Amino acid sequence: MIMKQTDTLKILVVDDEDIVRLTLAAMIDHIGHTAECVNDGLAGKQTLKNNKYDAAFVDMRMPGLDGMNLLKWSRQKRLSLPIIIMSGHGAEDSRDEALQSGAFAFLSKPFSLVGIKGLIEKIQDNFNAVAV
Amino acid sequence: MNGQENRLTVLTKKPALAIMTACLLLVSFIGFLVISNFRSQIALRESALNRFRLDLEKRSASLGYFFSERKYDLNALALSREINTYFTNKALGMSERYGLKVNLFMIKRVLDKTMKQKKIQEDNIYERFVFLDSSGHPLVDTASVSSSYKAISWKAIQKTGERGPHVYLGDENKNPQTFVAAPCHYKGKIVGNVIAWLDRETLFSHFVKFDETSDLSGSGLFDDLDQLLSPFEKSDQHFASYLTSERIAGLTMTDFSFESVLSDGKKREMLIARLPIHYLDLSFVAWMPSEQIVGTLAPWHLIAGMGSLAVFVLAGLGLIIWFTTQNLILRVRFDESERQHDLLAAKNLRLKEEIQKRQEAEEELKAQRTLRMRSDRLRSLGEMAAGIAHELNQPLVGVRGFAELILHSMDNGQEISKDEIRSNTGTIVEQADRMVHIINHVRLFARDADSIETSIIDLNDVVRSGTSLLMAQFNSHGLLLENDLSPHELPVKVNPYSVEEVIFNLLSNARHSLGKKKETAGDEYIPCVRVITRKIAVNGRDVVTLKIADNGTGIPGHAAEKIFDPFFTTKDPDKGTGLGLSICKSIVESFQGQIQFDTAENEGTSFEIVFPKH
Repeated sequence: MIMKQTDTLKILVVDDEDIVRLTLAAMIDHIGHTAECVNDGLAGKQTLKNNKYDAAFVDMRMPGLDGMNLLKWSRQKRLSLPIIIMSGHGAEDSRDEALQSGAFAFLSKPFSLVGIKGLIEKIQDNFNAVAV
Repeated sequence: MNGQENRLTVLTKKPALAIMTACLLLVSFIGFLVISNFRSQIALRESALNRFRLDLEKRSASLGYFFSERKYDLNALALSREINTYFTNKALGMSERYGLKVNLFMIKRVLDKTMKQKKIQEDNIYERFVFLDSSGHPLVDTASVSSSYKAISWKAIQKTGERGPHVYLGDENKNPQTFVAAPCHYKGKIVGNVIAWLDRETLFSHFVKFDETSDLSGSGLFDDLDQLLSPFEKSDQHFASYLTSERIAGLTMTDFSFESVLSDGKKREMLIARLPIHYLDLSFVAWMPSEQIVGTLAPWHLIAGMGSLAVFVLAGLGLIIWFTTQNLILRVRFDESERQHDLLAAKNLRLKEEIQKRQEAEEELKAQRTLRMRSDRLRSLGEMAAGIAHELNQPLVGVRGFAELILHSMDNGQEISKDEIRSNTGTIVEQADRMVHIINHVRLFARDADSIETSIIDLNDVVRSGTSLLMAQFNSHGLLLENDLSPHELPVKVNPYSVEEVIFNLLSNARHSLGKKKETAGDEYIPCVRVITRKIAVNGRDVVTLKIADNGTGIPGHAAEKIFDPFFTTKDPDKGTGLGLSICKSIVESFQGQIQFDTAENEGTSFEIVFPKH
């Protein structure tokens, strides 16, 4: 896998909240990447099965299949993409649980543009490191 | 109570006793008066009778004296010198023609003189004197006519004359003459008689007749031949026929006899007395209506009057006592009713106080309940804090994100189209509004859940709003909260925040139950609570149902019947006040709703709320 820092990343956003999807997509777009959105865990799972994404922002609590289960599923499937777990609760135990389950990062809502940018850069760095 | 009764008895007894005593005293006084009057009457009667007896005795004594006098007169005449001389001369054989004639003339002079001299007051005692010889031939006669003396039984005169002077009363009817005869003795032999006829009118009017006479009273002389001489009295016809010789002869001497006699058709008491005249075979008989002497013996009218007075007095006193008693009874009743009234008033007051106390207690309970409810609500809010944070964080993502995007573009000198700015700021405002809405909702929930203001609202909206804040909380605990809402609009007339509170309470209970079961159950257990709304028809009426069903521990049988009781709880003291379900029930009922539940231990509980469809 060859990736460049300047490459545009294809990112999946999974959240049942419209505004979160909208905001996150706008931010990703602003930074210069491509975002695709689905509104629940099962749809996310299906999308991940069929498409290749560079990263996924997944809401922790969702009806149906939630973020944690999607994360666990992706680890079981040995999908390599980094998954960022988002939560509006900001509870510390949730962060630990997410990171232990193999999340790339834990993102507390509300998040900042800088934070997202930083995260995406971190993902790119990670890719570059792997590539090198 | 005792004091009252005593007072009552005293009240009843005191005047009654006094009145009774007074009554008895009065009656005994009247009785005493009657008796003393009766006794004095009897004494008066006694004394009147005695006086009458004395009077009669005096009369009989007077008669006795009178006749003794007459006998003495006659005896004196019979023994007079002139008569003695006559018999001496006759015995000497003096011729009748000369010597004896002188003697007889002298005798006649003596007799005339005696007749003229003997008087009572102005009345002559003697009517006539006759001097008889032993053959009964009248020698001297003061009267000129002799024919009227034929009927005199000379033999009887001579016979009785042997014993001395004798009074002869004569037959009143056949031969009404009364005379006294005295024999003349010469040498031991009766040689003649001096007879003196008494003036009957003088005799009777002075010695026999009563001064006060009536048709019923009278008196007379009764001789040894059982003849009654009472020439002047005109007795009542009835009484006259009653007063027969046999009856008089049967009378006891010197005593009174009271006889009841009919006169003029009236029954009257007659007093009859017979008194002996001494030295003579004569009795003095007197009769009179007893009322004339002693008055009415027994003053029955007085006694009757006194008696009736006593009766009146008794009746009066009885009436007074009766009235007093009635008054007392009325008064006692009045007192009693007043006491009852007072008692009732006191009872009412106590009741009022109790009601007030209860009201106060209720107020206090209400206040306490409100306080508890508020504390419960605050607890709910606390539990919901995570949910609220989550709910607020979602729009905040948008607000912050879009604001930051604009800011970032401007800072980096990037071109931003006006449309983009408008779109972004529009989203920001929209999300800010959403946050305002959430905050308002929480505020209103905290404040208005116990308000009674109702509005018509879709129950689905209430459920959505109520569950949204808890959804995150449930999720964070790994519990499933599912809404199964009716596709129809479910209009109900409620206070939405109150109903939300009910939903919170029921969901909170469900959460505890699920959490508890999750601790012990295996991995295959999926804790789940479903909120279901439906519109159904019951007895032809549309109702709206809200069901909250969990698959938790269920309610133990012993607690099931008490779950709606205030302060009943199966939770730890720091986890619940025990008011939740009782508040739910009162809230639901305040909107004409009903709440019921169905539970099976270790399988779950389902609460169903039914509201009338508006």
